[in-house]
Amino acid sequence: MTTANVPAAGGGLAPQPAAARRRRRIGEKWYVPYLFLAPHLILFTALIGWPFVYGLWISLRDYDFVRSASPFVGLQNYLNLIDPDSFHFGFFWQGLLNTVIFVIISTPTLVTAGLGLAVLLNGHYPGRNFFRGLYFAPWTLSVAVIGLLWWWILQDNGGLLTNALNGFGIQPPSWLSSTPWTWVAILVATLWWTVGFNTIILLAGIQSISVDLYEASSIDGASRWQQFLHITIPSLRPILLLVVTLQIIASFNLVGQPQIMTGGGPGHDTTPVLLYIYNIGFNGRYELGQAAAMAFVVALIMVLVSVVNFRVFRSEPD
Amino acid sequence: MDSTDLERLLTQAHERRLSRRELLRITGMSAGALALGPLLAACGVKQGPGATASHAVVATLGAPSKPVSLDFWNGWTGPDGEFAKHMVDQFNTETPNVKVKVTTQADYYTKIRAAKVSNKLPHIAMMHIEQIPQNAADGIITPMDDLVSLLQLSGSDFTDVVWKNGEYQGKRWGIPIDQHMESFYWNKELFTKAGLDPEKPPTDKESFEAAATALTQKAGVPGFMVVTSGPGGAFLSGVAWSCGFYQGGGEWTNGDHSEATYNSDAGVKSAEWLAHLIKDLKVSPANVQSDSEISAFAQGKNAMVWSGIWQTSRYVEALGDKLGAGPIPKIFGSGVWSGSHHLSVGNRPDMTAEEREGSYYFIDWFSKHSIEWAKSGQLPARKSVRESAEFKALPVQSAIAAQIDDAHFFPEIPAAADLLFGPGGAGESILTVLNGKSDAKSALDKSATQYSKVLKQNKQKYGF
Repeated sequence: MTTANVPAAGGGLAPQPAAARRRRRIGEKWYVPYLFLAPHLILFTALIGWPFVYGLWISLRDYDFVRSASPFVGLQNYLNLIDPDSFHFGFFWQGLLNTVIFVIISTPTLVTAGLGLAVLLNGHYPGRNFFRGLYFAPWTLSVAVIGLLWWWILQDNGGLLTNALNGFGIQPPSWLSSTPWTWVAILVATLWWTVGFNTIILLAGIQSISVDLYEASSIDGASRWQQFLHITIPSLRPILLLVVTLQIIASFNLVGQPQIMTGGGPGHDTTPVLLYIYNIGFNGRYELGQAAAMAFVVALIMVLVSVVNFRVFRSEPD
Repeated sequence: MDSTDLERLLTQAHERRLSRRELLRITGMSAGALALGPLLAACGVKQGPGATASHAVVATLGAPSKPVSLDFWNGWTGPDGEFAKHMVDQFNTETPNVKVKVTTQADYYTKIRAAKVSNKLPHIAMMHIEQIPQNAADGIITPMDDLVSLLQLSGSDFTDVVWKNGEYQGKRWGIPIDQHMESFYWNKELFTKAGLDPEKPPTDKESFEAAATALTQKAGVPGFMVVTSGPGGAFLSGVAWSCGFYQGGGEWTNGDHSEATYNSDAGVKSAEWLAHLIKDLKVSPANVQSDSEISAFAQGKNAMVWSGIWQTSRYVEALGDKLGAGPIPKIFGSGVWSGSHHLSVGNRPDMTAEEREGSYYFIDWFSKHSIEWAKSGQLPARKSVRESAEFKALPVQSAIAAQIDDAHFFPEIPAAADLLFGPGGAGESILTVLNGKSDAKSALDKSATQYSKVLKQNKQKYGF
């Protein structure tokens, strides 16, 4: 847009001094803009700001919510995480590694599977809407439901898949208690559960791409694959950024599937860091200060990952 | 609550009971339904802060004279919860003045802590024995020494350990209702098939190894499955290991609970023996997922199993007459892992004297009716109940009850069960040994070193 357009867009308004215009448009009272911000500001402060500050306070203490005393321990809870001799050191970093493993295996899988499904569901064929609904349906279930569902399918003693394979004379591995099968099981369950969400967003993105581009390229002799590579993918770039970012965050938040399906095992091999944090904070140990410190470290790591992710996707290709 | 409060409560309770007796005589109601028979003689009564009343007063506890509604919370989410519900229904029918409402929930101890923060604790709370120190220290339950002296209860109707472990820092916090112990089950049909006498189960290391080998070779099924993995692996193999550990004279901690000592010879030997069953004797497959040893035994595909007594009804249903049950064999000596449910009184600052009396009445009633509870697969904590004809008519439970004096519990300190079940605790170490990833000594050393640090922290936090 150039300055030449401004008079036309502005209609018959006479030019006015900038200071006068600002005063009349925003109002004469200094607090008016804050009043407009207030509803969100109050909610944000109550639901995010205050818990954040309170969490920081907790992380500096030996805190347990049923006890009246919560001694100040300074940075001890943070130092424990870099002291190889501390009790939590090994578990915390193994948990973080487990979470990162899941992010690495699940993000490409769930994004590509979502993209593939979105392309398929974009075609013109009978029953298209039925399939769109079908693939999205599992996403509406809770983690408890899908966890138990897949546990019943995969468990060793009379699980659906195990029994079916036994019927063919095949002895499957222990899906839920031997690595790497535990990760495969968790990944498949997560794929089935959440791929519909990525699919719907990417499908909406594909539908907003102009049909003209495809028509023009097909006149020029482009194949379907070339169209996908050179029209669909570049046009979806901002949507893909959104999907990848949301997927990384969602995968980082892995808790329920291993909690229900593998119990975090074998050993601690599938205990994601957030499950470990929950366990030491609420499930038996009640070390809430330590748990809060771990949560802050994990949050910091997630912020860094998101920043890198945005940088990578923002850089325009030549 | 200090001792003057206790004395006041005690006096009130005595006064009310006498007046209620007169009332009963006038109204002609059945006294038996409300006032329970005297308990044991005064000998051995714990001299708690409330034990000042004369023991000459007859030791009965009546229901409160005014109607009260009480909340009773437990974590019995399995079939045991149904048994508890039936017993409470029976109690409510028998006791018009006291209405008890049961709430059963998963993640019980987390929920009860949340309830403490919002000041909504129940009047009566189920407590696992190893949870008593933590919940006492955290102000979730209240001392009940006054009930002990009111009822002239004493340890003599209970095993010494189960009675002693209901105490923490010199006060009583719970009344035991059961002991649930690790138990030995065998398949009689498979015993016959292997040329063994199904009525003569192995009782020591030699006979146990011989039987397991014979069963594996001649009956064509694993002789004795040892759990090596799965979500419940650290619990199941941890408990099995702890039996050998207790038998070898193992102690969890040193005298002042500042060092973890389960990496002692007793612990190492017990772990090595379980690994020996898998590696050398090959009576157990190399990979056994948690609970598959249970279902295999129920299906006749595992000849012997060590399980918690709560599996009894499942095994009886599946195997019927083929099921043999009894004490855990003495591999290294006497000693068996045991748990126990206690009933405690919740710490409600606004609890009235009637509510407290009603809670005591209910706890006493539940404890005395624990024969019903035994049917859910438990050993009643009371000797008098265990000696009843009704209990002796339960063949499996009464056979297992022979080992009740060998029961061992965790030390009476907060979070003691973490030593076995916590992250990196003995249970997880045992799994690494059974998986061949580590030798017994270094696995237990590593775990005990970590938990010595935890013990020192807890010692400071809870002041034990």
